Amino acid sequence: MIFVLRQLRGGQQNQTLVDRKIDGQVLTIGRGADRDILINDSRVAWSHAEVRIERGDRFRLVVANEAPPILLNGAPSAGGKLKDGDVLSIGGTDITFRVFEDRIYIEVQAVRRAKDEGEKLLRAKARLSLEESGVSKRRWSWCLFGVILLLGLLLPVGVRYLPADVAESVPAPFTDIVWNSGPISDAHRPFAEQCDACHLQAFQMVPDTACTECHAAMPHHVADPTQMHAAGMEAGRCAGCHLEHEGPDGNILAHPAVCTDCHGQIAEALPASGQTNVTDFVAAHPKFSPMIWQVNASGVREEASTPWEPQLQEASALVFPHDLHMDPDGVDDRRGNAQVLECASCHVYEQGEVSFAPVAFEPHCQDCHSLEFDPLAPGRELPHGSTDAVVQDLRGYYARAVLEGRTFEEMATPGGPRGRGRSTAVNRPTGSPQEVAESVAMTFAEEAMRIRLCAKCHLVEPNPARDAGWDVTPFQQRTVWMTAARFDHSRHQATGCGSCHAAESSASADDVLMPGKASCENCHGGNTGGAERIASTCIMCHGFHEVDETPWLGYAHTLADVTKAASIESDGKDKPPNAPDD
Amino acid sequence: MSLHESFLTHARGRWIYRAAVLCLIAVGLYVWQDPKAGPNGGTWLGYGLGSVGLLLIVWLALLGARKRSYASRLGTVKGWTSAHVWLGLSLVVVGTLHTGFEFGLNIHTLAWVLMMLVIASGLWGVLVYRRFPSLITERRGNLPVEDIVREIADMDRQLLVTAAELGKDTHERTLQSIQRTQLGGGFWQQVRGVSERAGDGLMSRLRDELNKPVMAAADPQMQSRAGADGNATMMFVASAFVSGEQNARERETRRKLLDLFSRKKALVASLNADVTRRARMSLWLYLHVPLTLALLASLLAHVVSVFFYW
Repeated sequence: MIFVLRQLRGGQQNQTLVDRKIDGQVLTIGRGADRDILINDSRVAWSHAEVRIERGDRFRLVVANEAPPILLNGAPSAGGKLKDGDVLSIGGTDITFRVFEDRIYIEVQAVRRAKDEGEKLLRAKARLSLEESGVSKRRWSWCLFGVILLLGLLLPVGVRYLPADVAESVPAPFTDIVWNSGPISDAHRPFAEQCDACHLQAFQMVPDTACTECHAAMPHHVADPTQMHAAGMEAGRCAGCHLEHEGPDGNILAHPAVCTDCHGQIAEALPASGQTNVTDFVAAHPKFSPMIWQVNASGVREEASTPWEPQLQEASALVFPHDLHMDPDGVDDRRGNAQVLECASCHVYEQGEVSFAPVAFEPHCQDCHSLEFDPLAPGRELPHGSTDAVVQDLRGYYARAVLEGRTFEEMATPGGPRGRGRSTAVNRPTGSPQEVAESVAMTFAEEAMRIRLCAKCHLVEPNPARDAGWDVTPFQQRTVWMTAARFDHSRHQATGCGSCHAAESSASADDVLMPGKASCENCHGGNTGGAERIASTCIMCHGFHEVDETPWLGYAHTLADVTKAASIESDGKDKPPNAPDD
Repeated sequence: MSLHESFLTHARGRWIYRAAVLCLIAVGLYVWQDPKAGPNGGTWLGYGLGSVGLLLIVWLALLGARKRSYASRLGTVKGWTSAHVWLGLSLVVVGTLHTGFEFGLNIHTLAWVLMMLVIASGLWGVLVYRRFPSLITERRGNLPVEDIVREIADMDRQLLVTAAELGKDTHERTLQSIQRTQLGGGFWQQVRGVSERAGDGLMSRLRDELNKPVMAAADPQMQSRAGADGNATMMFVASAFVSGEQNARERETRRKLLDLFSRKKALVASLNADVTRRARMSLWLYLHVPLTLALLASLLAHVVSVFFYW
């Protein structure tokens, strides 16, 4: 390869050529006299640039350090590869680079436009605005757009559809966890990061099947399908009330509207339910209706939900004056020692401290109330709990006494247990020892039941069907009175029993010592509570699903009433039997 | 009221009024509503505010497109800008109420954060528009940038022609000086300011030396001082000037060269100061626009994800 320097002179019409061969591999450009291409212009350095042949047919422009760039095809260049047809502009001169066969033709032509060239160079180098600085708004914008779309949408969707074992290995910020809109409820935390545990199908609301997978046994609000239909609850989804991503207990809604949307107008919307409208515990809530024993018109004892009123009485079939037992000076036990009793002496928490275990004779009464029946046999006590057992026990005892030769007079000696109310008008039995024993046993059985022992606490009534002709009316002790509500005693301990239960002034076991609604209202306000009371919404006391889960609440009873009411309504009969009061 | 504020009160504050009404309605509904699970984006008001917010954001983002569409008949650019500013500000209320003040480390809160950043950068832009343009036209004396560049290029040419008369060394140093002249600069350089003051002290000192050539020539410290200041070219000219060997014509030529240098220096400094002012004026857009795109991406992810996991 050799350089051929071709000086072009004149315009297009009368152009003349002067060719000159240049030896060597380097062509020099500058203002110095020794340059191959001499450009006599003040903008040009003495030794401004070179064109070098590199390895065969490749050529390179090299601009000297500190020298201004040259315009290469109109753009400033500080050097670089050259190819056929490239035009270098410097100092008002165009240098065209042409390769033809083994020669490199360097066409040099003065064009006299040094002024434009300088301005162009200066302008090209200047970066006078942020747009010219090389930082592009558009590029940054789309970069950010892409990154956020990738992390916020494409990766989460993609990871969801990966095979489970692969998806598990993807670290957290690159999964659908970035979609988590808030803290998962405590109960669901074990699978908080498995979105598809609940979100079964994309673009579909969480279905009930996602919930019943675990909560299979959860009963609905009302078991009867016709009631469900009437209440419009068939279409309701679990997640309609149980919202997730709302914090530790956010999935249990406490808002009254959860209930009052229906119960606020239930009397009109579902008259068959027999319910009254409820919107607020203080402003619109029926009286409490404790379950109490009543003797109906035909003399049958039955349980009935009865609107609370002051001094409400029930047919308890028990003799128990709370006031006597709670004497601050104490009551005498069987040894004559004064025992000061308090509520907890008899009313003992069940496990969990929500409600109380039934009061029982042996642990709570017998310490004071002896069932000894024969003064000659101290320590010998009758069994408690069954009149049959009492009679059998007495039969055996007196049969043996007769066989042992004890006389009736001995057996009937006054000064027996307590001696009080003792029968003196008994006929001396006659006949065979067997008949004597039976007669004595029955006499004492009747006496023990009717006068001396059982009747002290129980209602004892004549019953010809029984051997002794008398029977103890069964006392069915109640531990839960308000069956439709929930009450946690342990959380109310600080107030003391007496603040709700007027036991200290109650002289009769027939007194219903359940507090009325006003007692709760001392502390519990309505939905908002107000300044001085606890905001108390429906679910503080009432459940939605509680049917069998919490037997002590006896919810099934209420449910049965509702369904019964529904069937009465559909038969066109009278209104339900236990329509709550107002 | 100056010209630059007028887009804020366009059409007698029509858009202030509309934005205020929108905010009042949003706040009123928010206070009035009583959702069962507390306020959040999934209540009827949450969906409503979210939809309004989304439509507003998309529409406001279209301002960028409207600005480029000169043939559009959809209202004036000034009207759009006014609407953009006031409705954009109303998004602080609409968007925040949409969240129900539930925030977390997730794509949803990211969208809210980006929205607030976009609004904040937009507010910065409003302040800039109110303050800077008048400054810039004052300082530049209404001369367009390209004219200033042309003037500097002319000076460069005169400098070289003048320097060439003083021989090869002077010419080459002048050429290098021109090569080193910096008009504007990179992104941060423009924002921070291109420093052209380093030579100012030297310039005035050199002028003093020119007036006392003999004394200056006798001062051997001068060269090292000039070197420390880094302005070698000017130092060279000055030292040759004061060497006392040149004839009166050369002396005059050098004086002219020095004069040209100082004039050019002042011109470059003024241009660079202007570049910095304009860079600072448009810097907010380098946040506002990319953040807007980021916001649109996060909104897309937010909306899709909310319904993907309904």
